[in-house]
Amino acid sequence: VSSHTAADREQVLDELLEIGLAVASERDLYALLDRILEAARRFTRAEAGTLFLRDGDRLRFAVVQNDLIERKLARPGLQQRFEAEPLRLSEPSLAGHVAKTGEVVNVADAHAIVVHQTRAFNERFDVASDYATRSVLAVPLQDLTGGIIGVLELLNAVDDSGATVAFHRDHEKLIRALAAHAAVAIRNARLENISFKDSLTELYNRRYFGLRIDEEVKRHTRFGHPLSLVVVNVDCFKPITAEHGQAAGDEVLREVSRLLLRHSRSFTIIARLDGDEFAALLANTPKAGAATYAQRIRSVIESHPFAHGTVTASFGVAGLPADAVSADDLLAAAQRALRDAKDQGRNRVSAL
Amino acid sequence: VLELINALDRGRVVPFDSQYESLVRSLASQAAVALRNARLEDLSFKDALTDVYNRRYFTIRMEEEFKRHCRFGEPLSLALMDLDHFKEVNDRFGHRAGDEVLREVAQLLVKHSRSFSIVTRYGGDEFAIILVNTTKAGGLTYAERIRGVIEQNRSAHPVTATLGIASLPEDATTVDDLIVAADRALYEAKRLGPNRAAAP
Repeated sequence: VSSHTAADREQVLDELLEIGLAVASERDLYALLDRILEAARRFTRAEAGTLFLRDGDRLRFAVVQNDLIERKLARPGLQQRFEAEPLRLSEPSLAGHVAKTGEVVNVADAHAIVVHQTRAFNERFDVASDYATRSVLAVPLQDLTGGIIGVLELLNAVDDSGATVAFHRDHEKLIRALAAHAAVAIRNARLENISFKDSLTELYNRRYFGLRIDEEVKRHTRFGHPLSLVVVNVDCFKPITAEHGQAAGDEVLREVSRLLLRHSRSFTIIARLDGDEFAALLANTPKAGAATYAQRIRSVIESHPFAHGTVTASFGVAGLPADAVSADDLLAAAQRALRDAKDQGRNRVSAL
Repeated sequence: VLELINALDRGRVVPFDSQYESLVRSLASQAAVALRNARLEDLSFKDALTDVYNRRYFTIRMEEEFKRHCRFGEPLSLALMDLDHFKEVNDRFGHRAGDEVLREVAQLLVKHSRSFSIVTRYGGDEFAIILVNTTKAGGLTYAERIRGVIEQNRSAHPVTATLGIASLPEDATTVDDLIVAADRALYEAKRLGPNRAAAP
């Protein structure tokens, strides 16, 4: 474990760089955390590892890897077993100690630790999973303000002969760097969760649209004003990106967004639902008014000089109280109408 | 784009070693992540502490509701709420206790407001609630109910609240004036003694 050849260092650097790139591009948080933990284990030759996420007064087992147990139990089974039982910060444990103090714990034998109020080894999980923990390296995941959002814990470093040995001191810094990558990835995912705007078009995103359509349907139910929904889908969008590239496709979406904003009333809620699909929620507007609005937008898009020629869009219109009673039904009705517009030959407005 | 020019070797300009490409690429991608994070924070409409809407959203939504009021003529009321002696909670029990009080109050507001009322943290210990399609009389009834709910709440650090209400069309003709009117009503209520609700 302690042999630090130039080749080793280069491999470590490469892997760190790759993970740096993955943090920017990987959309699936758990896939990324899994990869980070795996890299941490590979560098330190740890038999097992856990990435804990703090959730109030507990640590949740977000990612669990254990070669020995996995041989007996498939990965999903292992994950489920641990997920069901989070580690409480009120019970003494090494990961809990790291979460509470921010200290790095690096011990050769977890069982040899003199019992301390917080820094004690918790045998519950060894017993539950029939595993024997000896060496432990645990580092905190810290956010910008120094708050601890999780713990990366590695168990049982193995040497060339297969014997369990202590984690090398030199590895602490590297594992801290990996933990920092994990912390950034988690922060990214959390920020996405509180964001209400689509970062490509700066329109409202699907999450906000979901909240807002619920709110407007309740307002409709209470006050009885009509409410209409228009869903918009760019015609033949895939061929545009296939032919002119992703950047050109993105520019079309941005341009359509700008047209929607410019030609709608300031209190119309415009969102990007998905890919090339948009929605406009029109308060106090009956279905007939929404159809007129959709026709206007349709012709604006059709006659707009896009960078590489003509772009058209199809529109589905639905309204309360005519087509639905709930937000879900309203969206489904508008999407049915949109499919109808596509089936009729695109570049048109359909209201069922 | 991250651009580096003129690699130096003892003062002499030399070509970039191709082995550094992946390192620079990785640094650029981390810069991209940082930029994206900063933008995402700008796009957030929620207050991180209390999980109700933030002041940025209040401003956007107030403007939108004002325009809807102008177009459709529905009444619109604004409630501004300030916690009484909140500073003492912070001073005596620490910021953690103060934060807990703010979270509790935010939850009470959400629980006791209609699902289509817009509850926002306006700043510090001040909350603003946009009451759509609500007259001044309705706004006052709401404010009185919230005042009572907060007073009755059994908490580790009991607090009371003072509220000021202002409404369209009677109290203002612009968004800014409406906020000023609600703020003035709040100030007037505080002057008369905390734990009350008032409208101009």
